[in-house]
Amino acid sequence: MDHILLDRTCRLAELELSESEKENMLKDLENMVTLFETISELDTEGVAPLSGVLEDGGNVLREDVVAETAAKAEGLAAEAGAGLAASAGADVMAKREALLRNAPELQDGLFVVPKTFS
Amino acid sequence: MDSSKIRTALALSERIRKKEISVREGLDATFEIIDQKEKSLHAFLTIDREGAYKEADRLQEKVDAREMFGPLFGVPVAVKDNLCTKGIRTTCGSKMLENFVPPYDATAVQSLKDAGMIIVGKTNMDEFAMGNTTETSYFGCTKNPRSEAHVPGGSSGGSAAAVAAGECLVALGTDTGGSVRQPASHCGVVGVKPTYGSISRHGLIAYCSSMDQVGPIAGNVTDCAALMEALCTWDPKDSTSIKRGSLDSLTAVKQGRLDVPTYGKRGRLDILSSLEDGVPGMKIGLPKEYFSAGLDPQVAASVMRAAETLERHGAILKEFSLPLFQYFVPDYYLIACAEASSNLERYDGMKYGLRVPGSDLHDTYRKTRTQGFGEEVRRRILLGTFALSEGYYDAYYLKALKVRRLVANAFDDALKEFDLILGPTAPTTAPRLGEADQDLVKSYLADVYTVPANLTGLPAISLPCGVGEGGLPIGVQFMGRRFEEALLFKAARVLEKETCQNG
Amino acid sequence: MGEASIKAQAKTAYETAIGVEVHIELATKTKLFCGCEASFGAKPNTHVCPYCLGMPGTLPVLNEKALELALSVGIALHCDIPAWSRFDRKNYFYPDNPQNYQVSQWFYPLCKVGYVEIGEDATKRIGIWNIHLEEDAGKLFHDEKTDQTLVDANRAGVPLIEIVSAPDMQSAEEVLAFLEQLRTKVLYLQASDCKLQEGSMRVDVNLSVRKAGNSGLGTRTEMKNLNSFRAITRAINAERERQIGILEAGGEITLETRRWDDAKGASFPMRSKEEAMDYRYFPDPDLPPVFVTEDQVEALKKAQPEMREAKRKRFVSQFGIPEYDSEILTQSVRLANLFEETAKLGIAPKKVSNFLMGEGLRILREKELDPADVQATPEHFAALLKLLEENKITNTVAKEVFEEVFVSDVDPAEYVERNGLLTVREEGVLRQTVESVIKENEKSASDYLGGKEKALGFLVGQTMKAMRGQADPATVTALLKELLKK
Repeated sequence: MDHILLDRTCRLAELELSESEKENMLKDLENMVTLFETISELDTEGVAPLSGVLEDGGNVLREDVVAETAAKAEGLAAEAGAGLAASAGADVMAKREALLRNAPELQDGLFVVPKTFS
Repeated sequence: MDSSKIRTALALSERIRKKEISVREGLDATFEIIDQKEKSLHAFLTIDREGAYKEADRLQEKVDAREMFGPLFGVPVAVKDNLCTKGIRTTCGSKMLENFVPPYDATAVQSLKDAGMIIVGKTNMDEFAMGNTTETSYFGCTKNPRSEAHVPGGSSGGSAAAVAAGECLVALGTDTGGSVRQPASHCGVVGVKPTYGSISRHGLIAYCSSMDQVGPIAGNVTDCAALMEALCTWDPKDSTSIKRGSLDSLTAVKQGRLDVPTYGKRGRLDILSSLEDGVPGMKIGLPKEYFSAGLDPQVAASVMRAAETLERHGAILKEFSLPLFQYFVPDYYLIACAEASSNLERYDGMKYGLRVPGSDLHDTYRKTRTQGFGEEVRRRILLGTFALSEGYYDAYYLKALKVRRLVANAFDDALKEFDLILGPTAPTTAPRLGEADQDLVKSYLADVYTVPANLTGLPAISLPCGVGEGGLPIGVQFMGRRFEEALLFKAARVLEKETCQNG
Repeated sequence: MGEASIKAQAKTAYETAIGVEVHIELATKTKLFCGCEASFGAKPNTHVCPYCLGMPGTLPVLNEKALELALSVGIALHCDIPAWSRFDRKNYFYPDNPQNYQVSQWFYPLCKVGYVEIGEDATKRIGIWNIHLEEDAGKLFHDEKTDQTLVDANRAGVPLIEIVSAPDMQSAEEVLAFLEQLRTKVLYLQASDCKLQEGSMRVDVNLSVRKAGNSGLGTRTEMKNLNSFRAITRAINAERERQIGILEAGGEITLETRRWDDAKGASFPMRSKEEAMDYRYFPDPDLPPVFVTEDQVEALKKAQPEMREAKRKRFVSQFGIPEYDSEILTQSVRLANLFEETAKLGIAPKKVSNFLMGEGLRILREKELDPADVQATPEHFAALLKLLEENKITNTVAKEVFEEVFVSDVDPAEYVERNGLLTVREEGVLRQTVESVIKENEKSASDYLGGKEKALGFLVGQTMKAMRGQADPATVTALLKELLKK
């Protein structure tokens, strides 16, 4: 682990460290990497990697059926305030509003993000 | 009726169902203690008083209507803040999600509601579950109810402290590297990590997907078992969730064993009915390496006494060797950091959570993530990113997965001979506040006893077995075969009865 | 030797190696890993849920139909289907990607080595390296006024298969033939509607050149933003020229991704070598492996609908239409089905095929319609042809009504009735028109009387025109002859 590698890793992880932070981080990472490297002592020739502990299950599949609109399933339509007269359109908009409530910035139901380069 | 004298969740629920006290009264007692202790304890990040009372009233209607309910009906419960609760702020202990309000409930939370339990609030935790002291929480650390100068453990420190302090009789935590068992040990309560896949991860904010599991925390073994039963169901929303009934019998057939816990009448996990069976003939393995240097002598002594107690009740103890012991921690951290680095990529300020505007897209990503995540989280993300990057993947991540297989094989082999593996939950009692910061690697190594259960997916329980210096609790841990939580609980119950008798 | 011919000579000394990566949106009702609707054209962010918005704590669950369709494509392309495959995460930050990773299959794809045959009598095999499942990304829009980007996640998570070919193609023609074959198969399987312009089929081209006789492939470039078959052809030819030009001048080809600008007729670099992304692929821990048994593969093989080649042969033998007709009709499974079902209702097959090949294709071309958009039902089409057969309408009228049936599936009998399009035969009605036509065309009338037979045809035409094509030609002809004699 060195400065160049740290910089590259920061870029990949979309993090930025100040110069002093970099020094400390480098030390910590070096210590951790040394700890990691102990596993290289083990002979893993012919050993199959174990990424998920559940290997003997069958396929987990979902039927190709549209899920109930969240508005109905989670009772969000009532929150739309339209009460009894809520139309299908209002349902959909209520669902959207609830799902996008945490968005930092919206415009006509679209997420607003900094300009991307295409 | 002085409901504060009710010490167990099952007893509370029984009183409520018998209409000896109202649901509201049970809740009042909870809030009374919370109001007393919370200011100094800081176990909760969000308390939903209004929602809780509303739910209490709704549940009371059901009692009055004489409907049928389960053994935990009406019991208030605290939920760790990395489990999504619809309409209630869920922060994950992080600035990144400081104001995030999920539009959905985690399946585990829904299970609580289905059981008629009342969610009182969200508890404090290490940021994104990364830590073992609760000190990495953006919102400040929780105190250990047994000693203000010490940490409650982590990452489910808030939940364990809330139960230990009597603020709640039961709580939910999550366990990725010991985060339910270790704080349970440090606070003197009972905590379980079930077999991986037992409790749905839908709505559990991911840290390390192949190891995260929800775990119940309670003041006693029986309450913990009841909560386990309420939580362990198959969930079609989680592809890693398992249908326990079918696999239980498969395992039993494979092993030629007859003595497996039955899948209850309603198709749910059944631990309670065999809880008092005792441990005659139970074979218990003690790994030599667990008791080597580095283990606090008081902890070692206390854990050995617990083992001897089981022996007195008919269990057979035997030492054995686990030579991979020294590789548990590096293997765990490599895999956990790698998966975490990917799981946390979604926090980018675009769709929800914190956004710190930057000069362009990537500057916004960087500022948001650097300011939104604390130091430990940033450290683990960088480690994980590194372990997965081109040129390093084979030597680090892939190698770690292979070592994981070796560890799993070692435990499977051991558990062919033994029914339980016994050891300490943590090498010391709760550290002091600020201690973990001083030596990062040392603090990571303290996870050595708990991480194997996460690496292998095997179930494990921690319960108090004594006290050390300063009255700080010591915890003993049992680890067992997949799906055999009932055995863990049986052994835990035997120990608990002895410990209670001896004060 | 002129400079042009020197250049031409130089070019022919180079071989081109072209491979393609084709992304196809599968025709499932829901997305790959969540139950949101996968259909096109909804209001922004209304086909979303916590999973495809990348919200915390959400998890993927595989769509069984997507798996089935992907496997059926692999089987049709003669791929090996391994016993298991796995999902991996491809990690990169971009706002159209809510999780900032795409779930794809990098290490162990669903389908492995296969092939597609192109050319006359299927003489050349183009290799398929693999077919794998992956999630589509959302859509980005640029708001000029605020200079910001807007994100719609409706498309995020829609199931895609990526078909990676071997670099076995050597010209734009071969690439188009390959894509045409691929598209026809996928359409016949009803696995996708494969519309290049709509984005349900996307093609990236990898191209390299090398001096003829050299072994080993040259450095390739990848080209994106090819939104039509025409753009693909132009881009391939332009890139080949560009690369040869560089090599001839002594330069080296840079390994890069280029964006094709069809308006400008040129490509521009998108990402440079230095910033080559490290996607850090690793197995997705939220998804178990996908197991496919031999029985399943057999069952899918049996369930495979009749593919183009078989249908083409059967139309000839069963309906007695010429090979040429069958070739054209089976280009589109929609038209083929329309032909077959209509013929089965008792209409002479050649009549059906004539209309489809003539008027049908013309309408598709002129209105820029996709065969999938054709609304005609066999019942209405048959009814129309029956009206024509019974001489109740003229050919001219039949063509007009056919367009309505083809595009909007109107009921022909009702349409004819409503618009008064039945053939007029009554002498009484026609007499007046014939008389005025003769009066207005005195020269033609006298020409005819003077012996010019052609003039009669002209007068018939004028009468038909006046009667908006509804007059019965035989009656008109007879009437003209009668009145002219006078």
